[in-house]
Parts: sequence; structure tokens; C-alpha cells
Amino acid sequence: MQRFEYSKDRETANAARARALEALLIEKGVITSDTVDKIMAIFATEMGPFNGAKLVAKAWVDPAFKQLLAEDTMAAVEKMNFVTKGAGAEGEHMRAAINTPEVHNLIICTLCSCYPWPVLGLPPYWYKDPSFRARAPESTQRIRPEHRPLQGDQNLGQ
Amino acid sequence: MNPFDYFKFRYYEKWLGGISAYFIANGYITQAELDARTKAFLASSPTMPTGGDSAVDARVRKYLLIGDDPKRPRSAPPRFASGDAVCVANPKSVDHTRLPGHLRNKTGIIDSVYPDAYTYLCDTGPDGIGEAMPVYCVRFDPEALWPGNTEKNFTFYADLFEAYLEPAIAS
Repeated sequence: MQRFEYSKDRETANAARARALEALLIEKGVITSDTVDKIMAIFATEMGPFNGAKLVAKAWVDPAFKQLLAEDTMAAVEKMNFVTKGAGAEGEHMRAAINTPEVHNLIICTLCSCYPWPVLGLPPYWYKDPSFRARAPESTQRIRPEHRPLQGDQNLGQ
Repeated sequence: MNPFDYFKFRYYEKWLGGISAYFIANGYITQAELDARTKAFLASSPTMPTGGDSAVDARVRKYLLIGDDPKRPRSAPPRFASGDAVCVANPKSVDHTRLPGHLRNKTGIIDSVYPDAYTYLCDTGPDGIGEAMPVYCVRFDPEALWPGNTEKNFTFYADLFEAYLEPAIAS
């Protein structure tokens, strides 16, 4: 069991280590004193779930766009005014899965770090946790309710 | 990565560990430097150093906005078509793979063939991927994957590289 024990100060220790790594890389000239802040700003304002929300909202009110999103997702994304256009790290080839009242989709990554950064940003850590990855493929009932696909009357689609 | 550590560390702890290990292994920094500086940041809040070449920031931004496209033209037609029954291979396990363990030796149906071909970030050796090859969306009956241990009324799909698929032998 010892191998799996977490130190109580894991958040503080990791934050210090991240800052230490940043400081060293600035001193060595690998990155600049602005690099990390600029990456954070990109994920806060240019690549994130606010883009995905716009895609979904447009699909709700524009049936032709919804059809394009389903059939050629990247062509639909290119029509949006995103700074990444039809590209963006980890989102070079996205495919939308359209929910209907009868069919709900749960997209999971069981292996690595795939996540559609341009439209959803960086993933929450639980999405990559082995316990979630192991349970979600077998049964949505075995994952926490807030991580499940929409159920019945929760359906927000049109 | 040690399997115990894989299950112990959270996702972004793995990022931090991986990034740190890369810069140490390639001689940019030493473990001793990192440990000492971490102690300093734990004890107080030292001022961040300043400076650097802004061309680095421009390159980072360009990467994030454009990405790294793995799509390539096909060198040969895809081996399988929609509707084909396929059996998932069981290659030797290596550090990097795109084959979920729960699909090894299982049978599925090709749901769709993605256009063109896709590379993987490295050559996985006996695992079989790296060079551009077709990728398929394969449909599985969850009952065949986890007999007696799944929800009813759902379908499991997995995107799989061609190297992981063999024609299913008719029973």
C-alpha cells in the first residue's frame, strides 16, 4: 500500500517544483519569463471550452451547420472564428458525436493524453485517472454522476 | 514508467515528472538543481528570473495554434472496409501503445474507415505503429468485452490503427 500513498503536501510540493522548473528554464534560456504566462493566457482566452460551447450553440440554432458538424467536423470548425481555425494542437482532426434524445455519447481516452484542446482546453485531471478510465468503458453507472453523459430529461439538445 | 507510479500520480503530476525528466536527461538542468530550487520555492517565494528570447514564445504560440498534423496520404489502400469482422491483435507490450488492453484478442466490426493515413509520435517497435497507416472506427459488443458485467443497450467504439487488426476467422 505504501507505493500508492500520497504525501499530504502534494499540491504545495508540486506547485513549488513547477515554479522551480520554470525559474531554471528561464535562467538557462530555454524559455522566457513570459512563456508560461502566455501559454496560460492562450488556454484562458483562445483555446478552451468557450469555443466548444459556441460550436454547440450554433448547431442548436442552425440545422445545416449541425449536419456539417456531424459529417465533416473540421469543416464546421473552420467556419467559426476561432484563432486555431481548422487546426490547433491536439485538435487537428476532431470528430463530433451528436447526441439525440435516444442516443447519448460518452467520449473517453483510455490510453494517453488525447483531448480536443482547441474546443475544450486542457482536460480535468479526473478524465485521465486510471479509475475513471477503467470504469467508464464498462458502465456509466460506475462513474460519478457528474461525469456521466446526459440522462433523460437532462437532455439539453434540440 | 514504473506501473505503480503510473497509478499513483495524477495526470498533471505525470506531466511535471515527464517534462522535468526530459530536461534532466537531455542536460538542460540537473536533478540537484531542481531539488534545491524546489526547496527554495517551498521555503519562500523567490522572484522569478527575467529575460529570454521572445522568438521562443512565438514558436510555442505557433505550435499551439497550428498543432502537429499526423495525417498523411495513403501508400496503399486500406486493408478493411466497413462491415468487415476483425480480430484485435495481441502484440508485445511496450512503453507507448494505442491499443487498449481490454480489446486484445477481441472481435469487432469495422464501423468506418477514416480518410487518409495517420502516423504515431514514435515507432513502437513490436507494438506495430509509427509509420502512416489507415485508422478505423471499430464497433464492439460490450457483452463480448466484459461478459455479464456491463450495462445494457450501449455500443462500444474504438479508433484503432490498422496494425492492430487482423481478419476475424469465421467460426
